[in-house]
Amino acid sequence: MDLSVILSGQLLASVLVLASLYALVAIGLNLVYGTMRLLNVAHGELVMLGGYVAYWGFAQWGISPLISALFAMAVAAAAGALIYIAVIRRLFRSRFQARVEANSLLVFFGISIIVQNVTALAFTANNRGYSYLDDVIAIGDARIAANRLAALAVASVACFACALFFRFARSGMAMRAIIQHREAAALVGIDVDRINLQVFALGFALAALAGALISMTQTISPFMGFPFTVSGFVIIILGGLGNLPGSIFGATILAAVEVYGVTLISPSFRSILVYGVFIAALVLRPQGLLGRPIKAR
Amino acid sequence: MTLLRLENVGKSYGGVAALRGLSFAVDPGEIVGLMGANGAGKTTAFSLIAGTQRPSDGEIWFDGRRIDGQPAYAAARMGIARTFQIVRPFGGLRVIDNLVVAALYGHARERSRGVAEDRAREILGEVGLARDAARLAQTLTLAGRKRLEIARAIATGPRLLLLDEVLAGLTASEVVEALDLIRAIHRRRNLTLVVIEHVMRALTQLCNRIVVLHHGEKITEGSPAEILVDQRVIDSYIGATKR
Amino acid sequence: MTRRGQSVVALALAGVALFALLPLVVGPYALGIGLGLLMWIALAESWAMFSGLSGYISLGHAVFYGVGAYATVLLWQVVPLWLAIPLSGVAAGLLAVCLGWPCLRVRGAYFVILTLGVSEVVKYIVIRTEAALGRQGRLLIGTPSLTILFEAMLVLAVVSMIVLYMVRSSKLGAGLLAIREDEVAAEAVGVNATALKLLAFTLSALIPGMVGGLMILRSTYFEPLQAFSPTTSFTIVTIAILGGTDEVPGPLLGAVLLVLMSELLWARAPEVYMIILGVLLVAFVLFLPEGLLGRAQRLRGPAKS
Repeated sequence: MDLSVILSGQLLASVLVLASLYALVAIGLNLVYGTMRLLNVAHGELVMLGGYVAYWGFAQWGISPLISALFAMAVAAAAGALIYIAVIRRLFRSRFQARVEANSLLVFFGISIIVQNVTALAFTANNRGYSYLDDVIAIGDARIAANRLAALAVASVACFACALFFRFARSGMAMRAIIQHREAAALVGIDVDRINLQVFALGFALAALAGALISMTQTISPFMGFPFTVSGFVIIILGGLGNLPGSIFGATILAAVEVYGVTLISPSFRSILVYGVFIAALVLRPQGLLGRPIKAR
Repeated sequence: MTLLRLENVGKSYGGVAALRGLSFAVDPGEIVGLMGANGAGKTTAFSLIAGTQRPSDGEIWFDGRRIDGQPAYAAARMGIARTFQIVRPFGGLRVIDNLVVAALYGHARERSRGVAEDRAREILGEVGLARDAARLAQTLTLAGRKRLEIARAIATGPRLLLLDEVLAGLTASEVVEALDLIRAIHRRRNLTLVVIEHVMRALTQLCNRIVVLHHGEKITEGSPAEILVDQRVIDSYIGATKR
Repeated sequence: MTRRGQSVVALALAGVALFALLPLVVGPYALGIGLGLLMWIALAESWAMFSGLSGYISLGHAVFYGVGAYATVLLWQVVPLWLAIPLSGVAAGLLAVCLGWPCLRVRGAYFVILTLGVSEVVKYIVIRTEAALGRQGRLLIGTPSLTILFEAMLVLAVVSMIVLYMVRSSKLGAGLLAIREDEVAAEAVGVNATALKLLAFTLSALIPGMVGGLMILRSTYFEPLQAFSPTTSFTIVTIAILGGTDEVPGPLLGAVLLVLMSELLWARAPEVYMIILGVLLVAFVLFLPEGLLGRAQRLRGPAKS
């Protein structure tokens, strides 16, 4: 394999685009985990839904996916809030406290199955795609489609906005406080329940945004969600559970592994590569490359 | 021949040393107290002995064998039992089943469930939980859970029992009962005890010897009478007493 | 044995005998449904033996089913069938040991995600391998009759129930339940959690491996996407949650309900069927986490654990 290909700007551009999208997915997942210790196995389905909203908006009414993204975010936020109120709160209050973790996994698992099949019912299981901002733009020696550039731009802005939110906004700081120490946060007067609600809304919205952006760059299908869930988990493990800036770091690493790995081996190994990193990360270094040492036991 | 010996044991988390150069020994049949302000390193010492954590430095010897770094289940099988400061019952299991597990897997290694259940009933009678044998452990009151914690530790058939603040949260009369119970257990089962307590009366009434920790280091050890008048102990922990 | 115990055993034996005689009475279609029922019973009871007792939920148990199917396909006409099926079980068990050894050292929630991912990895590896061997699915010709497969599956289903019962009342079961309640406390009383989990995990893989082998003989066509389908894993979990994961009759009950439902819905509207399963799973976890059996037991009043 030609070294110049590997070092090219082309691949670097691919890594950046993928990393920015992955970061969005991971931040949402990490937020929910960090504040509530819940692993949302259905997170990828939100990405998928965001993609379908954007697809539908464009295919039916010619609305730009960049606009539909906002709508998708709103819908996802509402869904997140609903799920928190109707499902998660109930779990937290159940009699079987020792099994909240296990039960939450099952619940999210069930939700993911429901969402996948409802979508398949509504849209059929076939791949869907559309063309938007297809023109290729040249930057240096990289040729990149305008839609991917747009995805990178929007995703980066969103990540930056998140960073600002967590740093300066009251809710954002409250979220960080809860991630650090839930009981202490409650003791200083933070309304943990309300923040949890916001966390779900925000986390879901970010995933939907990622999905809308992704739908510009690749075909979508009702069952595309799970690989994103796995990627999300790999990233939050690499970057550290509850470590929000770490998610961006982890996203970059995973994107790099994927893009360069696929280039070196073959595209059909992509899944094995991602899952392989996933398993290795969980088993070898559950605290992440950046995280505080926690034992996964 | 000493049963338990710590030699220069240390434990650090990142840059923070929870324990430094801790050395003391416990002979069979003794009741040794471990005393000190919160954060002095007492529970850390227990965790190192019981195998929940491994020491960063030093050696721990039990019955002539080196045990530092062993996993917790190995320590239990060798005959070291412990209670947790915040009790950890098997809430969803019945009270008696809590003990049955301990009897089957602990140092006693009972062969069959039937034998294990018999021993469990016996111990439940000793600690006063006989009536609650069939209840789910999570339905017990705090005092009941504390008894269960002790009972479960005993069910493993240990030679060394580490009691971590078992009196915390009990009323004055419950403390008296608990002390009687501990003394009875010690006598009847020929156990060796190491006890972490903040209740001074318990330490002085129960222990032959007390080891005093401060900021992760041992500052002195001796009989209860010696400890109470030791200036270093007064400065770090007791405060001036009017007695 | 108690009087009640005696009547339960008598009833069970009668039930098994009746089932064994089914092929004489019903036609192939009904027999096929019966085979499916026995399959789900065997899978769910085996799953419960590990996941129900230890609390470590395996969402990827289909991987053992798939590996068993693959093993049978590879051993087809290399080894006589009465040997191939048990070997398929062994293959699944070996996989469990290889997977379990690294995977069971992580905490409960991570383990669950891991099982999902692992199942997918193995699937893709098998797909790659088949592609490398130049195979696009494999066809088996001359497989045993439905009756033989049915009886074999009956054996597996009965064995799975016996194994669950025996494990649950054994020292191993006591240890697993303790792990489920509080793993750290369990270790403190002498339970080597990793060893026990690994043992139970491996045991729980053996029968699904053999079930996979039998089912591939039934369908006569091996296709990795089908054999390793996440739907299988999902259905197993849902059955156990529905019926109750703790005791032998639980997964049995769940399997019966599921087969009933699937008969009504699967062919006509597979997505609707899956949606209903998903809704049931969520509803049961939220409102009836002990499953129908657990709930019934609680209503009957506190008896022995």
